[in-house]
Amino acid sequence: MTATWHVDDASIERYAAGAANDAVAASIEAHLVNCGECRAAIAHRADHDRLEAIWTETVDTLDVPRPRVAERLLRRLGVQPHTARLLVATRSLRLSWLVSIGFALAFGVTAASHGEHTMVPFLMLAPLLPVAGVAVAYGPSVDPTYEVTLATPLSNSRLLLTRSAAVLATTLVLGGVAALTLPSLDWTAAAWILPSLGLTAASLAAGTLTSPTRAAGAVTAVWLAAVFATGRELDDRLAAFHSAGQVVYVAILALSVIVVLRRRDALEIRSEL
Amino acid sequence: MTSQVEIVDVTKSFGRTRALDGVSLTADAGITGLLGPNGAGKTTLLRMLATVLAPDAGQLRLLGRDPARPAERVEIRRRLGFVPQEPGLYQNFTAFEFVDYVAILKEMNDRRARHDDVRRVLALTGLSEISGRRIRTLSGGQRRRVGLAQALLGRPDLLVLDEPTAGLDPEQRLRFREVVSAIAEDHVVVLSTHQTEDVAALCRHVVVVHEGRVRFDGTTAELTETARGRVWLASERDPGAQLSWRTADGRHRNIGDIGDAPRRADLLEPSIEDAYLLLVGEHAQTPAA
Repeated sequence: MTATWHVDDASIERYAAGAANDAVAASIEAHLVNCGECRAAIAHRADHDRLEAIWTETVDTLDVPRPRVAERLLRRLGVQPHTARLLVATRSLRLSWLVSIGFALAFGVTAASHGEHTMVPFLMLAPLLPVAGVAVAYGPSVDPTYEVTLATPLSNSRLLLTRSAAVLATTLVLGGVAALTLPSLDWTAAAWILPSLGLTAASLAAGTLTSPTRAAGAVTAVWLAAVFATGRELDDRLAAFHSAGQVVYVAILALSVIVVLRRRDALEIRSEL
Repeated sequence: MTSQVEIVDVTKSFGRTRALDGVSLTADAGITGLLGPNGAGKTTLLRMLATVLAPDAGQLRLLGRDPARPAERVEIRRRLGFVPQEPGLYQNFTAFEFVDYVAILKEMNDRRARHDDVRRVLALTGLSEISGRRIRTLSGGQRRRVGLAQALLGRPDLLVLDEPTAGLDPEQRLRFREVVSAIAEDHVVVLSTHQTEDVAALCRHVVVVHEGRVRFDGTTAELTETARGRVWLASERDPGAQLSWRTADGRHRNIGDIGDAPRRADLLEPSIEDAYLLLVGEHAQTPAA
């Protein structure tokens, strides 16, 4: 269809400058679809930088995949878009969610039927959830992109700590939910939190000396042995969770942070792969 | 003038196995090809060039900087592209998402500029049409190209490629040669490959590594020249030949020290493959790695 009328110069000028009101702009755009003469008239008046920006934005909107649900959720929680992308790539974050949910459900069901007997297993196993999550957050055996990641300028220790923090937050929240199912909601319901932090930091520190999975295995073995040994020694199965034990976990946490800070370059370049 | 890549007397052991034993070499703009059989130490060497593995002894200088120093290592990594031997990919990501993810690791935090570069490298590697497909649905060759695309982000000054043509069909290999040779006009590319014809077609500089040591370092023409007078056609397999195989016309192509002049033997123009096979000797009968 050929247009029988044309947009006047003043309107074209305003439209090209982006100064036309919405009704006029919509009318001109409807007309331009069918009028080559007016399209030609407006072409040389258009601001090319503005057109380029609009085009780039359009291509970017159409061409770029929509962020997945987890990524959008993290952004809504205030996480920077690029950090959100780094986190959703962490397979262990999904695994941590699943394992922690399973753990919370299992303890909920067990606590309902076995009451007091669930306390010690809960306190012993809950701190190991983030340790397991951190073990599979980073490293050549669990991350298919490990070598590519290592060769990029982004600090690998920062990436590991970001992923570990996300895993820790996930497991702490779900561990807290599981704690609500315990038969007595006194101090013992929170006695696993400092061990969680201490053991996670210890496995990160050990990870500067060996692989993350070996580090987590060693920390797990030492933890279980220590809980059993103190329980037997003091004839109290909760001995490892009393105040003296909590002080030890704070000390382990502090010491491990120092080790990670001092040895962080071991995470940036490996002596073996 | 110092070279862009300088390796001096580097050694590396894994347990009792010595992967590199006093390796020295230099590389500048253009393509340097590493040839050697499986287990020769090429991957170890390339991992050091990619700053992911530290040597036990010896010095490296990459792009004028020392990768042993943390701050200088980061500067190298900002100008580096790396395709490992097994370029692991997140199977659940689309090609675009994966390359975009690596762009974030490369500190490209401005979304629009980052996406522009992602589109550029996907186009360069011929992946634009399938950029929205999940990696688990891509063929082996397409996945290799995703691995190459991420390495090209940010127009790196040093490109380190470990077996980049493995799994590519002939057309994709030609496309790869086109892309990499364009980059190598003013950047340093170091690659290892199974394909001696890739080295012949692409590399100005070739280094043959065998049992952790450099056995040859020179131009491809110089490597080929080492086999001159040591390749001949004869009606039968020569007992003195290091290697011999029956060709399509029924005669035997022998390579080795010609020794006593064989009957009805015709000396042949050597190829880079002949020279390589002669250099690595008895290990040559297994495919080059």
